[in-house]
Amino acid sequence: MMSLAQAVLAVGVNAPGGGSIPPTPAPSTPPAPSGGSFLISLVVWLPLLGALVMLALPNRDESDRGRIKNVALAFTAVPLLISAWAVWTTFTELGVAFTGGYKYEENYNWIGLFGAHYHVGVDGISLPLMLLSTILFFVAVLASWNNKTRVKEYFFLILVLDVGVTGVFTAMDLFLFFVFWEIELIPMFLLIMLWGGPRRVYAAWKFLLFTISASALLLLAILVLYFKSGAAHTFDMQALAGAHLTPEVGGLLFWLFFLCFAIKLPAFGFHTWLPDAHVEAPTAVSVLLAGILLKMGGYGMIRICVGFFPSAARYYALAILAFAVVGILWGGFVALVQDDIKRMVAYSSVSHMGFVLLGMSALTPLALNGAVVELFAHGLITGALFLLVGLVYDRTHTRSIREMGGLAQRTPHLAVAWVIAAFASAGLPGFAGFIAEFEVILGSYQAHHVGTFLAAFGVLLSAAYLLWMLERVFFGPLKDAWNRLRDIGPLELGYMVGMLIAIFAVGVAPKAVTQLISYGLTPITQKITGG
Amino acid sequence: MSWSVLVDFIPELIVLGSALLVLLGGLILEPVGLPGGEARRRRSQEAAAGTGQAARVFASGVGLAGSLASVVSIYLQVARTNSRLDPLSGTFVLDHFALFIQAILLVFAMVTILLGYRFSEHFRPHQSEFIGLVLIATVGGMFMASAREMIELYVSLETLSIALYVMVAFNKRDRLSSEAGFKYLVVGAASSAVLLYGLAILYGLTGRTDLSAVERAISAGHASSPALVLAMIFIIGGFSFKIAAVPFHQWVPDVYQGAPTPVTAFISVSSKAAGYGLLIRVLTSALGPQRHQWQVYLAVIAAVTMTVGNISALNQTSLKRLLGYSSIAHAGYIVMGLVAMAGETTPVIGLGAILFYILTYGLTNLAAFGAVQAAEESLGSDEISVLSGFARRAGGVSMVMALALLSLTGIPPLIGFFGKFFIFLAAVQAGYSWLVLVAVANSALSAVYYLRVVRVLYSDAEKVGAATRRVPVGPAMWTALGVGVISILPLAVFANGFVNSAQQAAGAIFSR
Repeated sequence: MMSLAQAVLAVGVNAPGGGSIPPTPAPSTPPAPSGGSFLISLVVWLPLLGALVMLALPNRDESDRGRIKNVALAFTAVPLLISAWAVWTTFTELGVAFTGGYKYEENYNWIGLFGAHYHVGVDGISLPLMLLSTILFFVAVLASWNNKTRVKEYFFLILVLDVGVTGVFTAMDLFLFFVFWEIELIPMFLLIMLWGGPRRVYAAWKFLLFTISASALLLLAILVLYFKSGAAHTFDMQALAGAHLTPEVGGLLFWLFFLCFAIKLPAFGFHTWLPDAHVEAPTAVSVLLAGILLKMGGYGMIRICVGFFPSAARYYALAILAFAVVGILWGGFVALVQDDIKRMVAYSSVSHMGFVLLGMSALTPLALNGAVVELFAHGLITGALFLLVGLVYDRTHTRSIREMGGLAQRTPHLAVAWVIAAFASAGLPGFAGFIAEFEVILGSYQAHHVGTFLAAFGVLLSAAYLLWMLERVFFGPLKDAWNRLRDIGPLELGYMVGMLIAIFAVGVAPKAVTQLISYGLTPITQKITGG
Repeated sequence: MSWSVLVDFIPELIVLGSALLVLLGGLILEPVGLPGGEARRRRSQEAAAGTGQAARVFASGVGLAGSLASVVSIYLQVARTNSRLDPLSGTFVLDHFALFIQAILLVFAMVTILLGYRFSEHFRPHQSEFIGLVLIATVGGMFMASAREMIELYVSLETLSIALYVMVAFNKRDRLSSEAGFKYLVVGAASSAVLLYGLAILYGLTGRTDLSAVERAISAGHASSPALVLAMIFIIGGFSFKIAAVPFHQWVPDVYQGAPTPVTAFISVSSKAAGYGLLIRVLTSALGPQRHQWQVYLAVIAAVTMTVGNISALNQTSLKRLLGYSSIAHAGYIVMGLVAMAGETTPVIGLGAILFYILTYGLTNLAAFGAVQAAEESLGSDEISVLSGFARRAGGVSMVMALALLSLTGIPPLIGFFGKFFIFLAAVQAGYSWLVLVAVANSALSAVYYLRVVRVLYSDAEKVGAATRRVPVGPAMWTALGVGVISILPLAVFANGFVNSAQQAAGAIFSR
């Protein structure tokens, strides 16, 4: 087992046993903002431009709707290409021209009175997540291609959502971060409320109440942090990460931010909005919700909770560990007994997000690296799973596992995609999820023996509920009701294959990703080891 | 006194002149039916139908042009006065603070005239009087912003109030409108009496009516404390009526619902802005030495006001009533700014936050009422439930309404968020974190009722049948809505300039 780990990981993250991190770049002063770059702004704001273009288009007949969809596709495809290009360039520069810090920075004064800036940029943590969000929004548009109800409003809201989410991952100013964070709320509420399933009203209000409570906490935390950050009040996230806080203030702020992100992640105890929202949302919206909106919580945990308050994070590590372990096991057990296939996937998210918390509680470089990889990997994998749930539902018009059976005989392509995605989710080596969870477990074992031991059962559980579900849905005797099912078409096959290839690529060649992330984590891990 | 003193009052005189011109034009262009039998009245009504259009165009045109000219003259005034002027032996003060409030009031008046352009058809044959009253109320508000003497202060306050009493009851055939007018009059008179009593005590204690003289006398210790506290409570209580704060807030939902919608819009922004202008003047001058006392008192008022407003708004069925309670809630947020204004280190940032909030809240609220008015005209009711599926038939109006409501909720990146954030920031800095906690919780709560309306607007089930009329949105209304949308969204990106000018205006009041 250990040798396998080394085989897979030695490339990206040196010596798992030692816990030392790879080439540690000298702590350099942040480079002067290069005002010339506008790459990030393009990725963030192009979807809004698309939304405005869409508003101007008529929406009378089928060809109008086709035009609207094409606009949505174009204005999510270009950001995807840009961020893919950015990731690729960064990969080629790893260790050479890029050794940590931020890239593509843009910094402009915004509101001078309280020093808010329009300051965006990406580092090793945010770059993969920006790529993830552009991938998922592109796929979400494709997956909604057959949507016929209120096409214009639907794609408008998806594009507005896109702005908020990509903005959160790229903001370097806490005020800007909050503005982007909040943009997500209304489109998501309306998407669930207006295009959701039978219990959408309940689910949407529940989502809203949880999310807006999180926002209120976040706002409060940001205000307190602003005034406690030192003599020169600032919203600059890099400056805030280095601010000296008393342990009491640090602890208070840590918990305020933690509560907010725990609702979003969601951590055990704050997760009850998740199954309802995921189940009632339409397929593409579930993909976005699980694939990328949860990652906002995880990103906040790593970037702010650990990055700003490492000593508080260490002090409260056991409490976080408890959240993590209970979430992993409880989510897994509840997923095991679900009959609704979408609900099962939703609970599996609770379980997997526990690994992010586990990595956060361990605070070793390896575990933190795994936590970030988990954000990226789970985004792709759970996105794929929700797409597949949607494809099954489109055909059977039921999500009840009990009612299905033998579907593989009629829908072989769909079944193969399901099996691959399920293996990926169960953490089979060769897929992205394995890298993430393996790193987390290995990295955390040094810190918490018992907790990690228990959490490892979560991996077993996920294999159990997924394989059992596969058996009952796709294999066994074909039920009469499903005799006339049709397999998935070229469009669905196309985006599924794309997603699975991405999952596979990260799984077999994790070096670039782990190394990139470790560069992003360097300032945080230095703070932890440095005291 | 020489005539040259009038130069300082050119902005007010322009507005007053246009009001008189409007009224005069109305006499000629819009003859009222003379007594003398049914036939004659009908004939004169038919004639009025022909001339009504002319009267409306004339009144609105003069009103808009007058307000615009007045804004320009205020701008020139700003350029002319580096610090401030004290015309009429200092009974008025023209500093940047007063000029800022006056400019805001004029902008609000212009938007109101645009909103009322089509609506004033209902007021025939009194369309010109309606515009005239808007202008007269605005003049009252402008004098309120610059008054620094008790008698001037009270007279300008009543100029505004009496014009508003008439406007609320303007739809005299509508029972709700008449009832609202009566209620407004009674509560307004009572609160005026309370305010006068407070001013009388101040006068009795100090023997002065000039607010800065009162301040000097109090600072010098010529006043005994218990009576002063009583005066303070009475004065703030009297102003609570104007700013819709507890305990004089009960009139708000009834009047908002009953008054003609453009009037509601006008009351919700102009009366508030002028009320805050005067209250701030009194608090910073005559009651300045007492600020530690009124800070605590206002903190409690703020917490209670916003909570009462938001909780009452939760289960409203009428949109105008809902906006009424929302207006109470927002009064609570603004009072938070007053609390910050009393802080040792935060007077300028607190007052700047208030000014910015008044401006942005006013424009947002006008947009909201504009959209409500269009919906009401089309659907014949302001019940929230009849709005179901309204977005399908009136996409533009629905979008404005949704944007305005979301901005009132304080969702970034809409302008309402910046206003709130600014106030919260000032309050935290002033050491009132508990109040910010209450306000943040309230903000979250308010999302529930604002979003309920948005959800209904965009809901699937279209309740309204074929009987609904086409949405009557003319160019005037679109202009008004456009001003609202521009201020809600794009201005947020360029908020810096507005924040800075609000700060500058706030700084003016504290520099002596």
